[in-house]
Amino acid sequence: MGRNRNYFVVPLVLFVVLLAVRLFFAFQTPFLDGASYQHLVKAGEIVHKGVFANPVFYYLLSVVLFFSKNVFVVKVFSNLFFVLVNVLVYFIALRLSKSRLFSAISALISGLLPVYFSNTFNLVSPLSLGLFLFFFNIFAYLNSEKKGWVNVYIISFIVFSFTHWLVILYVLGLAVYHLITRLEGIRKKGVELELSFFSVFFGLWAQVLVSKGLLFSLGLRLFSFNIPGVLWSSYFPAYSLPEVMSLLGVVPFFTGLYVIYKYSFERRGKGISFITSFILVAAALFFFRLLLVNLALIVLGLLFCVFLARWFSDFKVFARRAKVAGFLNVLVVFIVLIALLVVPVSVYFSFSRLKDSSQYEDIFDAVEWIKANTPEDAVILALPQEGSFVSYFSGRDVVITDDFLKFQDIDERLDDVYRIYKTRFETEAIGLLDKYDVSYILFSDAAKKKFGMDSLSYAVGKCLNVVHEDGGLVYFKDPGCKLRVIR
Amino acid sequence: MQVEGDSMRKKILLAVFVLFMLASPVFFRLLGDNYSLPGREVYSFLLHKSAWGIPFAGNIISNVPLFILLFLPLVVVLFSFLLLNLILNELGMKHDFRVVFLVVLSLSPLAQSLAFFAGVNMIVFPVFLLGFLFLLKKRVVLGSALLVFASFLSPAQALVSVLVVFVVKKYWFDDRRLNFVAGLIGGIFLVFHSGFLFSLPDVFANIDFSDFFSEFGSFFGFGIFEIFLAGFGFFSLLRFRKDYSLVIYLFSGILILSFFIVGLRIYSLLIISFLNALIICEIFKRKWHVAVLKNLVLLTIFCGLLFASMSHAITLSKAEPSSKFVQGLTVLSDKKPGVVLTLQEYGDFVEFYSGKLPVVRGESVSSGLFSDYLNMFYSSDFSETLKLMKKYGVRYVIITPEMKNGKVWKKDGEGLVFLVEYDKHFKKLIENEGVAVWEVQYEE
Repeated sequence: MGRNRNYFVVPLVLFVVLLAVRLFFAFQTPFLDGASYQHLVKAGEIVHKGVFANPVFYYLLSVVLFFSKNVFVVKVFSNLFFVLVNVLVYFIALRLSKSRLFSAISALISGLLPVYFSNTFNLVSPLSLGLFLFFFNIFAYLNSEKKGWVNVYIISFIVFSFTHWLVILYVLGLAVYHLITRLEGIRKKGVELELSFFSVFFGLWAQVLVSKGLLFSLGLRLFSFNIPGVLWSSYFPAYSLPEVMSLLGVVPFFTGLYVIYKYSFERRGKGISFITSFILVAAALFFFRLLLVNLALIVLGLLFCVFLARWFSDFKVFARRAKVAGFLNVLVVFIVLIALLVVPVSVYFSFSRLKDSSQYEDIFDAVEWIKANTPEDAVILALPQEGSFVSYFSGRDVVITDDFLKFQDIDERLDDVYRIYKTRFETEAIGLLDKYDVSYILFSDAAKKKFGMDSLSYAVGKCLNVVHEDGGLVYFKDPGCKLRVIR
Repeated sequence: MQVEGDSMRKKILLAVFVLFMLASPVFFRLLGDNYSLPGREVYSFLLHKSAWGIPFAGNIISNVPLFILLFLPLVVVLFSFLLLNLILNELGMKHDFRVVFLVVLSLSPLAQSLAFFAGVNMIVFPVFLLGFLFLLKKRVVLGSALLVFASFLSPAQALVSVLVVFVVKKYWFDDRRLNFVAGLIGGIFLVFHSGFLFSLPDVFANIDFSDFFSEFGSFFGFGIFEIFLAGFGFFSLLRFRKDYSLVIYLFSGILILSFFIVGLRIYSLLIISFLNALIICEIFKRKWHVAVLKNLVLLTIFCGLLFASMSHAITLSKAEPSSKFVQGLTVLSDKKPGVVLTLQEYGDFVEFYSGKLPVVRGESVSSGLFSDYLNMFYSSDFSETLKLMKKYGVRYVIITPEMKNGKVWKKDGEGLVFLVEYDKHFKKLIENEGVAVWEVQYEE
């Protein structure tokens, strides 16, 4: 009994500490990360519009929103899953290293990784539940020979299959794992093959099923996330190696690579091969731009942290053999301190993200005005990154958002939106505004900065008038102004 | 006696299931009150009776009532399934495997397309299967004659026929006459289908990956899930690589080439269904440690195939022409003579249902005519549009919602859409759920 209680003390402490740190940063602003609002909009729509791709998270979020629309409640809900991911990193690392101390260090570092922490502390997204289920399934698979875990795995995998695209990475990882173990002649239990069979078939079928509409409407563009060409570089930035290392942490990066090398060429380990398979698949998808860069780095960083505990265990054995066991504690503390250099980097990136969120504070007044003073069927034009925010708070339709999968004609649409902001000709603007039935334009500080203008240059005639000025200019388009061909 | 009764019941159940799956696109189409023949190929065939290179067949089919012609592909595919069952039996496949194969085949989106669209495959496919069956029964002359006949009709068919002759010669029986047959079919391929060889560089250069998958909207594609399953089946087949290496190479070759050559997909369908049946039987026979996983895997496979199939059936049932479009064309049939301006791909529908000629139809149109045709759609200058309409004798204009939503225009109020709405020279004859027919009233 005592042993069992201790078993959960470390992860519980980890959970509380990491959650507290995350919420401290998240509560610095009443706004969320930009990418969150599209998910809040979807969670609001799912009750009326029914199921769409990967709906599980949206159903959960809609339940939370039903009880409270307070943004801080939503932040707590999302951060719970993100912290549980680190707890799972602890348990997986414990299984591979058999050391509670080293597993706790690994899990702590995984929670503070710059790429993970700064991108997720203020984010509400299916990624939170997706990552949690990804690691939970890894853990359940590793425990599959134990009684009851097969059923747990089956249930969690079914939920995972309808939660996030990460399930594709997961099933590919399983396939690579079986390939690696076959090549290395590692014996596996029969149940592992059966679970893999089930996962591969069910995961793929579920994803084809939930993505049917997107496959039909977007075709192969779905595999590039339908990201418009002009925004491609911001979603797939070309990071240099030092930048990647600073995002993943130098120590997890090098120790992870070392463990992969060691167990690929010199030793054998089923658990290590299992985790390595996911690292290989994530790296391949990252290389071929089939996984968003930040998501790929998050997965890679967390998996490298799992290896960190194993590296510490191996290092301990090595230190004893090399007869420097007396200095072992000093060496470990030294390495942990180096590893904890991720903390200042995380803090720096996190404050930078908080600064990005402040753009919503700037336009909040304007959005409130739109909600109070415009008809419910009004269509608003705003920048793509502001679209979901405007839609969520005002309840009005918008021309474009950063949920690019919604738009078949995304390149043309984005081009039209930019032209409406940039053009000097009223005729061109009116034609485009009519094309999307736009009745209001939000000209925010972000738009001013982006296009280098203080106001819309063509809005000097009768067709467009400024109706609100706080939190950005709101223009009203006279519905009587139409472009007509006269013979 | 009891066992015989059970067996018969299972056979009836299988036949009903196969019939239901294959007939579902036609069934859904009829439920949507659309009684027109789907696809363009059959209209081309009915209007130009010598098409497909079989003059007498054109005359026969053009006298068949349209309602029967709607079900003819289904009947032909069911007959082909019967032939396939006999072929597999002849090849020594067990009863269980044959049942799984036929179920999997009937669940394939491509098989549904074959049972839905009347086209050249309606003749080629059963003739080929009959020829193959006769060859397996060592009726060389009859079998070869059928394969040679089928080879005249399609280049892909000629290619497959040669390969089949070689396979029969290697694994079934060696007959010197088969060398002659292979040579003859090769000759037919070179003489009658040499254009196919020259078109290959273009075919390879213009590959559209999404055209291979039904989930992307392709009528003649495979389900992603069935391809994936076939991948497992292929690994399972590799166990027989020592004895059947030629078969494995042929399977691989045909599967890869069918990415590029649509005509080969019908044979890929057989291969993919064979591989799927192989892996399903293996999963079924394997000793599982966790029984529930076996049932879940089999259920997932069945659901994966069934859902793709049903979804494809719904897509197929909406194939052009729509009932509203045909209604619009029927209105035109009583009107005075004149040329019809509408989308190029509707050309044969217009001629068939209204008896009036379209401005353009088919694939090969002179560049001058095509340029005028586009100008009539996109120009907002009525005098220019009118001049071109007069030049081609256009009296009727048909605009469908699909044309307004991307096939011709990107938004309402562009070019001709604007003119027909606001210019007094256009009189609306009928509008039915977005399909509008306009008459051009020239000033005398």
